[in-house]
Amino acid sequence: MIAGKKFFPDGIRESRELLLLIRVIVFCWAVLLLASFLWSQLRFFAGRLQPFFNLFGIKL
Amino acid sequence: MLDILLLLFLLLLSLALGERILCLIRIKTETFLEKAVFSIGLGLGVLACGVYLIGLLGLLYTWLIWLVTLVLAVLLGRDILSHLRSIWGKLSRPELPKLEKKNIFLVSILTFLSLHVIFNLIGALAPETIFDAIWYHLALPEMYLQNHKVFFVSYVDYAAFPRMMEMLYTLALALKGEALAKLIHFAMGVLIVLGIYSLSRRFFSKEVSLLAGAIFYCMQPVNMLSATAYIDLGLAFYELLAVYAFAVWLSSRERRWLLLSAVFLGFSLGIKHYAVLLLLVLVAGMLLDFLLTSRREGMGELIKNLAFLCLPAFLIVFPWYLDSYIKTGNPVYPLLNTLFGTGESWEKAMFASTSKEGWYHGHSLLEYFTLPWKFIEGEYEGWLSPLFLFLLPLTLLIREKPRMFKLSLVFGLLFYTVYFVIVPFYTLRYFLPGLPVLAVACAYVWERMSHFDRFLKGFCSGIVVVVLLANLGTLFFKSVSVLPVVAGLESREKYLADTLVWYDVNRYIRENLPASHKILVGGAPFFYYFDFNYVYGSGPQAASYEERARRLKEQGFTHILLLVGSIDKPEAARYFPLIYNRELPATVKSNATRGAKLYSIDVDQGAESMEYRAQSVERRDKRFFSKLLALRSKLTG
Repeated sequence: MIAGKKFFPDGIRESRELLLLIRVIVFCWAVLLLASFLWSQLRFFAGRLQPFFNLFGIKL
Repeated sequence: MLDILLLLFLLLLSLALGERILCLIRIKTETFLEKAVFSIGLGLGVLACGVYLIGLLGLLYTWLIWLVTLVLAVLLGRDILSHLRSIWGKLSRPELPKLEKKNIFLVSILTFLSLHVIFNLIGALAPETIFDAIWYHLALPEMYLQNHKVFFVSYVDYAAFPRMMEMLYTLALALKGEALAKLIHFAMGVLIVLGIYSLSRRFFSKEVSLLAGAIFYCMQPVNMLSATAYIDLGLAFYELLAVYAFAVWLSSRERRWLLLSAVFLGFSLGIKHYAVLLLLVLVAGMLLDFLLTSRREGMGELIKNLAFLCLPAFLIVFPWYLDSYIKTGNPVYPLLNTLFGTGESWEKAMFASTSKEGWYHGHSLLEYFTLPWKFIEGEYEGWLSPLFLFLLPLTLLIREKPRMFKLSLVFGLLFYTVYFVIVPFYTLRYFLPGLPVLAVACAYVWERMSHFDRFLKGFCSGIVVVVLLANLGTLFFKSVSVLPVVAGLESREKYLADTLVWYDVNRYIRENLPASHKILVGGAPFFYYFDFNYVYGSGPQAASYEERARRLKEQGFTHILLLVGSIDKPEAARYFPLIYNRELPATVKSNATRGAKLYSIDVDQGAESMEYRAQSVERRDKRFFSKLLALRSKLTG
C-alpha cells in the first residue's frame, strides 16, 4: 500500500519494488550529476594543471 | 608565519571587542563557539568602521593604526588573555569523534575538511593574482594608505561602492601587508564553517553540523575565494550571522536577536550591494511568518519587527551611501546612473561589454529550473558542489521534518528566487551567501536517510566522499603549484611575472626608462601592481596619430602601456614605436594573465624606434650565435 499518509514513510520496506525503484532512481541521479560535474572540471583543469605536470616533463 | 600570528591577534582582538558589544545588547549565547562567532563578526565590523572613520579624517598613517590597535589590545588585554587560555584549553583536549567503524565516515569528513583548510591556507599565503583583487579590492586600500585618507578614485569603477572589507584590507596592509589581507578573507571562510556548525548544533546533531560545514567549505568557489582578497566570503559570513540571529529570533521571539540580525545585515550591506537580496529574503520571511504563525500578534507588532530589522541595518550602511552621494551625486554609483543623472548607464555598458554570449539571461521559467544544473557544470565562474542537487531532492523521502529544516528550505528557495530575479549577471559567488543554510538542510537529509533505507544512507555517504575527494584533488594541484613561492623557493617577482605575464613590464620600466617617465595605461586596470608613474585612461584623442602623439607629449606622457589590444597600424608605428612586447601565453594561469605592449611616444618620427630596432637586431644576433655555439658544442661532444 503506497498511498495517502503511507506515501514515502520512514521504513518503507513494506514495498520492496518501490524501494528498489527509488534506489535505482537515486543511483542514476547521482551518476548523472557526478559525471556532469567531474567531466566539466576535467575539461577546465586539464589546461590549468599543465604547470604542475611541467615539473615532471609531462605535456597534457 | 608572522602574518598568521597577526591574523590570530586580530581575531582575538575582534573577539574581545565584539563580546563587549554582545554584553551591551544583552545577548545570551548557548555555547562558547556561538559567542565567539558572533563576537568576531561584531569586532571585525567595528574595526572596519574605525579604519573608515580614520580614513575620512585623513589620518591613515601606519604608525597611527598600529597605535590604535595596540591601545585597543591593552584595554581589552584581560579579555584577550582569558579567551586565549580558554581556546588553548579546548584545543588541547579536543572532542574528536572516536575512530570506530560507525565513525569512520565522520573522521574522514573531518580529515577532508582539515586538508581543505590547510591547502586554502597555502593558497592564501601566495601573492595575489586574481583580477578584481588587483583591480580594486587591494588597490584602493593601497591608494588610501599612500594618500593617508579615504578618497574617491575616479578611474576605478567601483571606488564609491560600500567598502567594509576593503577597510579591513587597509588595516591589514598598514599592519603587515598583502598576505595578511588575504588571510583575513581566508579566515572568513573558516568562520563560516564555525558559524554553520554552531547554527546547526542549536537544532541538529554533531554529525549533521560537521557534514554541513564540510559540504559548504569543500567546494571550488570557496577554495578559489579563500586564496584571494575578494570580499564574497566576508559577505557570506556576515549574511550567515544575520540569518543565524534571525533564526534564533524566530524560535525565541527575543527582539534583541532581531536587532543583532539587523546589525549583521547592515554590515553585509556595507560590504556589497548584493546584500539587498538578503534584506528582501528576511523581510519576506518575516511576512510569511506573520501570515502563517503569529498573526495574532497584530499588524503593529509586524511593523515594529520590520522597523527593528530595517532601521539599524540602514543606519549602519547609511554613511557609505552618503559618502558615495557626496562624491558622485549617486548613493549607489555607478549603478542607476541614469536615474540620478550622474552619467551613462553602467548597466547598459556592462551588458554591451559582455564577451560571453548568453551571460545575461532573459529570466525565463526554463532558466529558473536549469540554472542550478549550469552551476554544477561550472558555467558561471566556478562549480557548485553537486551534493546540493543530489541531497536536496531526497527531502521527498523524509517524513520527519523539523521546523528549522523547513525554514532552511524556505530560506534557500526564497534566496534563489530573489537572486534569480534581481541579479543580472549570474555568477555563482553571488549566490554563495544562500549556500551555508542549504548545506545544513543537505546534511540533515543525509542523516535522516538511515531512517528511510540504510543502503541509500551508505550510498549517499559514498557520494559525499567522492565529491569531497574530487574537490580535494583539484585543490591539491592548485596548492602545489604555489608551494615554491609560499615556501620562499621561488621569488615573488618571478612568480608574478610567470603567472600574470604582463607583470614583467615593471622590471623593464625600472631598468630601462628614466625616472621622469609618465605612462598612459590602457586595457586591464591592475592598479595594485603598477609600480611606475601612470595615468589610467584613453588619453587625448586626435584625428591623426601625429597629432595624438604631440598632444600626449604636451601633457607630459612619455610612453603608452597596453595590457590588452595594440596599436598595430603601420602608420602608427612611426609615432608609437613598440619597445617592449610580451605576448599572451598559450596557458593562462589566472584571469589576470595578460600580455603587455609598451610604446614610446615619438613625435620626431622614429628616433626611438630606430634605437629599438637596433636593440632587437642585436638581441636576435645574440640568440643566433648562442644557438650556433650550442650546436657546435653538441657536435664536438
